[in-house]
Amino acid sequence: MQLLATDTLKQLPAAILPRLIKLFMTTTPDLITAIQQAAVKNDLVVMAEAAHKLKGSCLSLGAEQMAAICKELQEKGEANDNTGIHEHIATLSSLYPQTLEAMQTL
Amino acid sequence: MRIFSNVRLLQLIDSALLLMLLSVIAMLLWFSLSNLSVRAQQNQQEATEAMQKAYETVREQIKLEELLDKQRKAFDALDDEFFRFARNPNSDRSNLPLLHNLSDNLKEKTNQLLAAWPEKTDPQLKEQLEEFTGLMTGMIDELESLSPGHWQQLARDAHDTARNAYDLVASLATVDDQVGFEVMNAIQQSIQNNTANTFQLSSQLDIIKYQALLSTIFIIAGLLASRFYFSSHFKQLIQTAQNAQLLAEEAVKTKTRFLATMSHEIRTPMNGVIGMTRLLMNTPMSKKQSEFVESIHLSGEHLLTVINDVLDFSKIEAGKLDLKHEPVELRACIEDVFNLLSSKALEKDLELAYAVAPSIPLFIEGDVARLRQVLTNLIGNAIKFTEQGEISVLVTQVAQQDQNYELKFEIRDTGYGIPADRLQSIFESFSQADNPLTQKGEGTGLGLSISQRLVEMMKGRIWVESQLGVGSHFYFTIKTCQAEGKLKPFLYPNIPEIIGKRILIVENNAANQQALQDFCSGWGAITQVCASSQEAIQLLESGSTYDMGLVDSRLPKATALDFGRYVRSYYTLQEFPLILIAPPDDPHPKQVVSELYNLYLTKPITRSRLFDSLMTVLGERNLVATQSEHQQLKLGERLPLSILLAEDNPINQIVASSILDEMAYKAEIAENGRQALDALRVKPFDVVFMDMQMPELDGLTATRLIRAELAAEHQPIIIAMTANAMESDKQACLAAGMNDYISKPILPEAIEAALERWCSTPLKKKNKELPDAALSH
Repeated sequence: MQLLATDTLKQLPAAILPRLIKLFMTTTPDLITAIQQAAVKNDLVVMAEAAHKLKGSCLSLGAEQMAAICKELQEKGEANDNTGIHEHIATLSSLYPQTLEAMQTL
Repeated sequence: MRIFSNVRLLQLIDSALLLMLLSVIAMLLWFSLSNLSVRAQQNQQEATEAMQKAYETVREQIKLEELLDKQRKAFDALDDEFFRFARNPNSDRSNLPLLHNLSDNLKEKTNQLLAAWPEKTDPQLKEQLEEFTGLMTGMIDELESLSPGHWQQLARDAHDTARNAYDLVASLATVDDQVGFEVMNAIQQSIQNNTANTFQLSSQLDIIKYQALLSTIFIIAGLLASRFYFSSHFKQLIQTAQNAQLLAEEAVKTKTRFLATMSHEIRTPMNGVIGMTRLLMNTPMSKKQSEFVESIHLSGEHLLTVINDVLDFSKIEAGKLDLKHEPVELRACIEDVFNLLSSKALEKDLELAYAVAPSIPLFIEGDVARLRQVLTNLIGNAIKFTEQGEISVLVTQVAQQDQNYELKFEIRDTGYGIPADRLQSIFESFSQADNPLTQKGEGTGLGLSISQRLVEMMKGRIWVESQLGVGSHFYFTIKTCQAEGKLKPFLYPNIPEIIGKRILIVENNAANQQALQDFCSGWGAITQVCASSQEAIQLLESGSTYDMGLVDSRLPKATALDFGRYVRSYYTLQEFPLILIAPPDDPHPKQVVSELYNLYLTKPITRSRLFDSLMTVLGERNLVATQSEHQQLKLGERLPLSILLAEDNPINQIVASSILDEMAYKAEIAENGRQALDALRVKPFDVVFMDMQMPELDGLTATRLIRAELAAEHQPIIIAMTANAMESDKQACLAAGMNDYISKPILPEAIEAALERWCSTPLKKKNKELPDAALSH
């Protein structure tokens, strides 16, 4: 699985890419925070929702690894299973800057 | 620089040395030879004098000898006659005259001899000769007085005298010989002198020869030495210079590599810092703390743009940036930049407009990304430094030869302007840094510098003219040539639907006016331009009729709605369709606008949007437009649909709407299921793209409500868009009453396929097929 599936990005009109990346840059931290806060409160449904939302952004921009973790978190949240979610969130947080970097160097 | 001056010094020394040596040789030769020539002249003179003297002496001697000879003969003749006279007894006085004659002759000859007497000879001899001659001539006079008996005695005396005289003359001959000897001596002396002089000359020449040889050897040796010295020195210098060059090149490379690596290496952690700062911003903090974090975040983002600029700059500096040569659609390139910057322009309520001269081909060869970068920079700056007014971009053709063009871009703003003392340095790196206007924390000061270098790489130049308080005009030129690119539908000239249509353009912004006119006439329309609604109303009152009107929403005195009302009082929406060209935040009440105007055209004006608008309006008018010709057109052009996009994620909103935009669909956006339902209640849509999980009302619930609530003829096609890629999800969608299902990431093909599947056959029929499932829930 790629950190960033460039094929997906190439499907998009080149003109909007900078705007999308900027949006990704501004919306993702909020979502990660939401996931984190929900996880701390053990509010797994909310966490699943936030993870789902982030998953949508990540999929659209080809951020496959982040999307996979979001999916995992969403599924765990929906199944009310909080095992290992903090590790997942930590990985997600560390993947974010790398993914953004990959987008910007595209 | 030091090496250079050293080389110059060495050259100077070398030349000076050479010059000195040569002048010494020349001086030596000059003095020796001029001395020699004086000597030779002297010699010549001496020799000539000696010869002259010898010649004179010889001539004198010959004359003397001749005279002596004559005198002796005269003596002999007189002596003989005396003798004969004395011995002959018959002698008488009658013989005396003959003796007289002879005596006179002798006297004459003696006088002649005396006259030519050599000076150096013994004076006694001369006296004796005079004496003897006197005696001989005296004897003639005695003879006359003597008796014949004494004559014999006298004759004997005369004979003796003659003999003595003879001896004397003989001794005279020795004198003569002496003179000859002297002459010989003189000649010999002269010859000797000559020989000595010649010898001296030749020896002197020898000396000069040796001197010359020596000096030459000395010079050669000197020159060789200096050459050796200098060549070794030069080699050293060249070596030093080469080393320095290598070092400098290496340093530049290292610097660039370092910059590139550093920029890259810094970017990753910077993204981390910015991301984490944003995370931090969402945690509970005191007001002070949030201010600090906000400041960190802004600085971080600024730092990131600086790093990006530095990376670009170092790439250009290192010559690592290669421009692509690909077809660039110039107008689309400007439109892209406008799209990118329109939000910033909107914040300040600035007009963005552009016009490209119609003679410029659609496609030019170039690097679209770099051209966009230059334009983004200049237009971005213009927006940054302009508080009110407009930013316009004009592209004109400076020169054209066959397929080659030189284009001039002009970016005008109505900002503060640039002080004259900064105009010179504005393109220098980091020149913005000391500008108080840019202390707001934006920009790196590299943007213009990068733009300048990019423009230079495009074989052009960049310059600026500015007037404080009035605005700045940035210009740049590029050299390019016509290129062939893939034409988008709206790029074709003379669109059949548009040809011959009379379009009234009511627009007070000159650049927009020009752009609208250029676009419309390019598609074959006949345009009429007015700068105000009064002008347009006058035209309409004079009886002119039009097929369509394009009206700017920001006409002077805000008369766009008045004009709409005026038109509607005579024409229906179908008879004279009007399009309102408005910014996204148009202040006019939407309800009123929709009664007066057929359509909004969102600013900034781009060809694709204008084309879409014209086609929509014309399509509404000419429903019978032939469909078969539209096969090569975009889906949205041959299958026009009204689309609602229900999606809460802003990224996915943009992705989906821009994919739809590419297909020439304009999608309306609903943020959640509730908004989607509200929108559908206001007006029917052909298609709804529905996200599954949305706040307030999720996709499945919304679908159920739509299916339950709306009348059958208003039921849309609902296509789910979700990241849940499981079969159970799909079943849930269909069960909720959705028609289809596409998974994220959304691909243009998937949307196109779904739309074609569900909408290409007559719409209403499709719609009626589906609600059974929906209604059952």
